[in-house]
Amino acid sequence: MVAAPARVAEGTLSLQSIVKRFGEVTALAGVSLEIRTGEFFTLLGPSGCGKTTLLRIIAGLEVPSEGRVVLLGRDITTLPANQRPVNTVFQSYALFPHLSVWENIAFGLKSRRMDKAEVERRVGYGLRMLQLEPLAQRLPHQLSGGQKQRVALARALVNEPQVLLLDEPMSALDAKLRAEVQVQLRRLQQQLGLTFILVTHDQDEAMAVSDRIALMRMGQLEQVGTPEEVYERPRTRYAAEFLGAANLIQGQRIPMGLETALGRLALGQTPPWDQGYVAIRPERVRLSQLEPRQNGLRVRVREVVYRGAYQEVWLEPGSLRVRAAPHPTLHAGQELWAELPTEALVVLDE
Amino acid sequence: MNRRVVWFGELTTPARLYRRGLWLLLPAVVWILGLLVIPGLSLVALSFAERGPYGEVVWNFSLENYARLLGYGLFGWSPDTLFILLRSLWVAFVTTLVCIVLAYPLAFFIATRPPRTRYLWLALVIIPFWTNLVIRTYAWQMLLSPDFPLAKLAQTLGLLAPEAGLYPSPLAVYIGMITAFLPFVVLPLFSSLERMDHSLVEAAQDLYASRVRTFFQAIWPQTLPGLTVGIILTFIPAMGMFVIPDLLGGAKYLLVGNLIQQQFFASRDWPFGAAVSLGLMVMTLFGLALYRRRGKDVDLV
Repeated sequence: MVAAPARVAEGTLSLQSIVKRFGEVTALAGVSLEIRTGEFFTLLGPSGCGKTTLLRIIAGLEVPSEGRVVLLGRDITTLPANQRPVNTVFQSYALFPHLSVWENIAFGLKSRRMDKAEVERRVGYGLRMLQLEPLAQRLPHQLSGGQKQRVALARALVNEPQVLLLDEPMSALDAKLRAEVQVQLRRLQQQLGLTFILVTHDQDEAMAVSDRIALMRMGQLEQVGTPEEVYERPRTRYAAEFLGAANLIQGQRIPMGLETALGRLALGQTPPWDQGYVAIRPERVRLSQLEPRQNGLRVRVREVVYRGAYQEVWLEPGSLRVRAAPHPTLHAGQELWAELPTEALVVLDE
Repeated sequence: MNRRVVWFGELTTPARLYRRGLWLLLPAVVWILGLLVIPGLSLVALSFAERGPYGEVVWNFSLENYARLLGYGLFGWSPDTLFILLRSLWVAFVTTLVCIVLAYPLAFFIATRPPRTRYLWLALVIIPFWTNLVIRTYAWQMLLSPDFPLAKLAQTLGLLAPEAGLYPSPLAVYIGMITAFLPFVVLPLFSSLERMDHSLVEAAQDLYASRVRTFFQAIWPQTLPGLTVGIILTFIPAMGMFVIPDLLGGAKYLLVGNLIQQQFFASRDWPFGAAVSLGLMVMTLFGLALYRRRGKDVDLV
């Protein structure tokens, strides 16, 4: 899916043709990635796409069937988890139930037999960084979900890992807290300048926090890029539909454009295929009373759904979905023009 | 008392509910009174009585039985009885400890098998229960006798005199006890391990813990409930066990269970038997209390 890994000088972590099989099932079918120092990198995909397996391979909790994991120029493919300068925030947080918050945070430092003063200093720092000082003597079962998550984060961060792995750390939080934590997490990562690798199935979360996103599908990388790239220039139908909503229009290539069931569309680029799909985001479709100069379609409003900040409009023919600013006169049955601007039409590879 | 209440969908009055509650309580009360409180109190009463010349119970209040328990006999003080009590405590302790050490790897092994074969292994642990303990103990007599390979091997290695058997001996008692009680530790431990949260093990590994630290911080605390059950199920019956020391220990390796049994049968000295029984009970409860207290603030760092 992805070209041979480019040599990135500042690369922290390099995954080279990782394959992982569990018996008959192939969880990862050849994944190659370069993750840069200080980057917030997100592995995004639906459950079962292999993103968690990939994270566990980086953590050392699984050994790949094929391929190599290289951290700072050192091959760590078979290095046990307890010898890797990598720490994980687990989905269930996995706090030790018999240890206090303080002891939990000190766990990794004590494992490495750090001297007492240094342990005190670093745990104190971790507690302060995540505002956990008043909770230091509590046991995990006395904490709320958000507090547990912060303890898990502090416990991993005080070890000053080369890479911090986060396995769906926000899936157990409610929506409002999650949005807050996303901002905090991003800020923390910026402050510390650490490399974060996040696994999530939530595309909003991925876009809110990441420097780069790797969209995964069935054990392979579908597309890797910045949130803007992946959102604005999805390469496949899967990518277009997984990140946000998209209108997919099938058509046949003609000189200077596309012949579709809706009519002729001019394109900004020439498709590499004879027959295929173009995508357009709902917010990029323009509605107007007057016929636009190019790519105008005569449509009828089928349904209008009021969403507060915007209005969702379904058009016939073609079931086009449009996200528009609320407009009082817009109503079902109305006939108008929809413009699909050439710069908003993305030609998909497949 | 004519107030009406709805109790699980039934319209009734508090008084009726109260009366019904008493009826439901009755079997439990009868059970506890008849099988625990009354026999227990009788035993206490009996321990302060005297033995008549023909082994009958004479109801004269006396502290003689307790004096004998502490070693003050007809011929002055001797530590024999106390020694038997302490030996029982020691044997029960060693049995429990060895069972735990053996049960951990075994329970681990079973809990990590795939579900299809797991219950097969578990069945193998349980199968000895299909045979009576006495018969199993006799089987050990045979296995440890001079003509069988185990004793022959020990003879060849020079650990045992030629023609001698491995039983009767303290070793035979330990072997009998450990094999009898091992399943009682393995089963609760297995059920704890099977339900274990594996992510804690991974968290410990992720946080640089060695194998030993991972075991004591991530696995051991999660198995404490099962371990407690196993210890109680082993330690208490092992304290009072008499079949195994009787058949495998010979006359020289008496445990308190044998002592009690002797008093009630061969010696026909029920009052002293009652005193020894109560001594055993006190020691067991003391041991459990100690365990509970230590268990509460176990420091695992």
